[in-house]
Amino acid sequence: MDRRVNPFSELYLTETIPSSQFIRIFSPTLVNSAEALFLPGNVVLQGVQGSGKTMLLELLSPDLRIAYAEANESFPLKRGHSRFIGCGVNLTRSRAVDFGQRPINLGSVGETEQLALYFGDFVNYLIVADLLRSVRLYSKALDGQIATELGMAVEENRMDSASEQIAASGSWFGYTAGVRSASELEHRLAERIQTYRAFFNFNLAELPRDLQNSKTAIGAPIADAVKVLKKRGIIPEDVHIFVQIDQYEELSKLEGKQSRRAAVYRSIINKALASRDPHISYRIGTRTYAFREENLEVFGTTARLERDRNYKLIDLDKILRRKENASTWIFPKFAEDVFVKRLRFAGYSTNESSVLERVFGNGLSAEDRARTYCGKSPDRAIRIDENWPEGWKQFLKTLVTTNPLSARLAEAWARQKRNQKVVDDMPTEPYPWEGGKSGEKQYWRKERVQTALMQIAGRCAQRIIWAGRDDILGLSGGNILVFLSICQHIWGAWLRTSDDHKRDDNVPPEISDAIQAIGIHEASTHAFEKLREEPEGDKRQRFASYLGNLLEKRLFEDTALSYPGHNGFSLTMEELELDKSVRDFLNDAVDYGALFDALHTTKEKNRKPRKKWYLNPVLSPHFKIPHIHTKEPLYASLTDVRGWIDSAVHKGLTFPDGQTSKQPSTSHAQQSLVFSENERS
Amino acid sequence: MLRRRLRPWGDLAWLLGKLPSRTWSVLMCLATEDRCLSAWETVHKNGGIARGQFVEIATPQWRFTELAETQKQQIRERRATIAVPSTPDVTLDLFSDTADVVSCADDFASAAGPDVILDISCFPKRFFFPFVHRLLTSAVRNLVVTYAVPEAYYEGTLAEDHKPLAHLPLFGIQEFPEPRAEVVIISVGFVPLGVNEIIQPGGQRPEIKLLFPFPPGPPHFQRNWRFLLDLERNVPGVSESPIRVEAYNVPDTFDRISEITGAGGRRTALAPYGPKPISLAMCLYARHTNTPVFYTQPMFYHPKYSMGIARRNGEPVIFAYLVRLNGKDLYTL
Repeated sequence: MDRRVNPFSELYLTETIPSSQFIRIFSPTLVNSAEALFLPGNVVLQGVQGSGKTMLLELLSPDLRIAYAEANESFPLKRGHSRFIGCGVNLTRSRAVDFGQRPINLGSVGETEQLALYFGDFVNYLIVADLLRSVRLYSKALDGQIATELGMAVEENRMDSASEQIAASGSWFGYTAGVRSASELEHRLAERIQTYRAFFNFNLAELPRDLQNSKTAIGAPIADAVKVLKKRGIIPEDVHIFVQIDQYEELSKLEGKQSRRAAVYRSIINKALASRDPHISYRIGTRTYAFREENLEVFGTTARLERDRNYKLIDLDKILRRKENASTWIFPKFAEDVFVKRLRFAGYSTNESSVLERVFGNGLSAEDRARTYCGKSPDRAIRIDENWPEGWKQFLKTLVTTNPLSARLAEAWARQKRNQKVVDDMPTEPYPWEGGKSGEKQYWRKERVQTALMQIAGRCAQRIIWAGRDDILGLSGGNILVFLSICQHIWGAWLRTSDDHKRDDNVPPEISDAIQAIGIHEASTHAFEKLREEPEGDKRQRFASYLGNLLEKRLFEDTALSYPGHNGFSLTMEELELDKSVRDFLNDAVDYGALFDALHTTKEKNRKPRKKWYLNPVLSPHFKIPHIHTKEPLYASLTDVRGWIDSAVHKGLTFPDGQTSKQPSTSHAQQSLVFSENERS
Repeated sequence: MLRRRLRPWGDLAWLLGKLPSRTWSVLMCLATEDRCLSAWETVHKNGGIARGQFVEIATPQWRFTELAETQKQQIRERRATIAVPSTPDVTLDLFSDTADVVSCADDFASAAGPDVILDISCFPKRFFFPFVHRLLTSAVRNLVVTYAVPEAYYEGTLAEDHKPLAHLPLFGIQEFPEPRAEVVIISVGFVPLGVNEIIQPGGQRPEIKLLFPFPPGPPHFQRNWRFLLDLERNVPGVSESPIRVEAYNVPDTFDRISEITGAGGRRTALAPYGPKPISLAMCLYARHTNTPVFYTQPMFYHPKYSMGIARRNGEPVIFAYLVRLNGKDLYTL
């Protein structure tokens, strides 16, 4: 094998590799958590980019199923979950959202009705055409092996007569009349779609009369086609049709007049979901806040879609983000599986129970990290208050030489307990800031270790070290794409700096903490840069920068370690509801991976429900703030948050003190890590 | 090379001197950049103007709106010292409907004389692509497209908050079922925002060809190489060496695209992120072959996107490309 190849060189492997390769890297870990996706009933699959939505939805694609069969691999769904045929439409790629860009003269018909009629009609044709394609694929591929597995009867003459019957259905209003075969029907559907597109491109002066007179109602031709296919035995009764609607979320991003039309587009799709056809279920993959409850109107009625009645919701972010109880957190298993598959795909042998741990280790202890930051000058870790008694000063100076972290915590302990005069009595081990005799203060320590380390690193002019399996999983924030990106950068740093890749065996490497730290910092900066690559990403990137710098400054200056949870902020839900622009901005920031959000229990007497936000953990190294969320976040007011957004988005600031940019950070800290590691080896 | 069709291009004043027309109808963008008046000034000096139409592109309110308005006012004042256009300015929103963009071009073409100049120097691509398309669809007899080279570009962020990847107006895919692109041609610019979306999920990957403007000269080359680095990270398969094309040579770029696509024989998708003349070549190729063109349209352009106008021997550097001559399209396969 060639050890010079980075197994993580392509992050978007899921979306861009041929199906035949996808099956070798697909992880079925998430399938059980998203079971509803493969059972009848409409499903909205929510999650930020990289949460695994595409990977799961890809399982609905007939091409992938064929690829599994071609590779003689078993399809990763249980038999009861695999009796479906997938088809769908991508709203932006198909150009469905181009309606309204060119008015269609319909006399007295208003723009909204016109849009609804034509948009729905276009979507119908696309979906039925894709359904017929899926059936054809299953009938032809591997001599009809999958069709046989599903119990489909797909002989040519049966398909032709079924197509004739489908075409004769009243839902087409005569447009497909006279069709006698499957290929003729597919051709007729394609012809109409192409006519629409030629019209969008101004290659047609107007839509032909026969098209104008045969607009179909959303969902009706799909239902009729499925009914006929089932009645004719082409699709067995127990085989379900899953219709995937792609890019539904992009409707919320349309601009100009299109933004007003988006509501109509959405309500038409919602109407299809509301129809509750027993044979057809819709699948919508969307970012969390792009599918908003206020946007669930059903076209032409006063009804709205209702969760659990019209659709089930699968929230991948909730499934994959760390819970209070870490034992129920499935992301580590998912990440391990993906990691192992990537290594195998690259030719590595992966026989250990935890390959992640083998490659990345468990990272340094907090105490050792502090020692690494201090190097030969541990006294930099603490700041002595001149008013402290000499005995306490001497105690700290002695302690810092052996355990800088403990000394830094002791300093904070003294600052917090200044009224209790703890500095007058020399403590004995076990020290209270280390947990006390019976561990009664263990939470005091636990909640402050990360901020203490951050401050020690800052005081010693060193970068914070992130390394080891747990740090990598924590920084990934339950997002498999982020995890892969971190692995990619670490592997890249390892390839650049190690001779190990010259070996010719296939045993995975053990990558040192120093190399990992470099890769993780690079991945963090890359994630920060990627923020602006997302649609309308500049403003979110500036906000992340403004917030990160603001929080870093506050955390660093908190010498008493009184507010270790201030790497995030919270607002009352009441205030949040008052300002739609703030709410929308924060929701977008969550959807595009700049922020994480969660409800939280207030400690205030008023008991008002609050919501908290943190920077995406992967951005923590870039902003030099701890990624672990502990204790109470900064209780902000709506005015504060509005001010931050205004400063970052509207004034273009990236620093709270008014700077608009910062000097590129030196690589000195990185280099010292590498050299010190090399010296040790 | 001699077998290739002659497609005259060069200095605007020089090209105008070679053409029989003496009066021109000019379609231009009223922008914040100094170069938006260069073609207007040069045409005015070198001949008569039958009709002058400025189109102002309105962007949503943002932190540089005030600065942009101040600069536009200065441009208007400077324009008044050159010549007042015959028709009132037209304002279009950056995200205008396709119908409004087309109407603007059609209205201009129907009122224009037979000889037309389109200055693309300051038009966003979502305007100049459909403008070229519609002018070539019209009865225009001679069509010259011009591009003024600025003295310098702003060194900070040139454009912000791009929208998701989408086809440019009139350049969307028409066929169904959509044929998978065999080759994707990307012209290298400064920031490849969202370009990875052009690769469709599943199936065989298209070949990716990169058109690299050469010689770009500092500081552009650093941004161009950064673009390539970003692209390599985000778009699988971008490993081949980029194809150097001369940044201002539209005919040559058109021929290179034609070579890559086997004279239109390979299914292609285009992504114009590079200099405008390269985009123009893509536009002409795409219009001729019904090739889809994808782009991530920014919401905002910095008011100081470019400064001044490059000069050679004291004269402004304005390239002119003859696209149609006596009713005959020169950019065909």
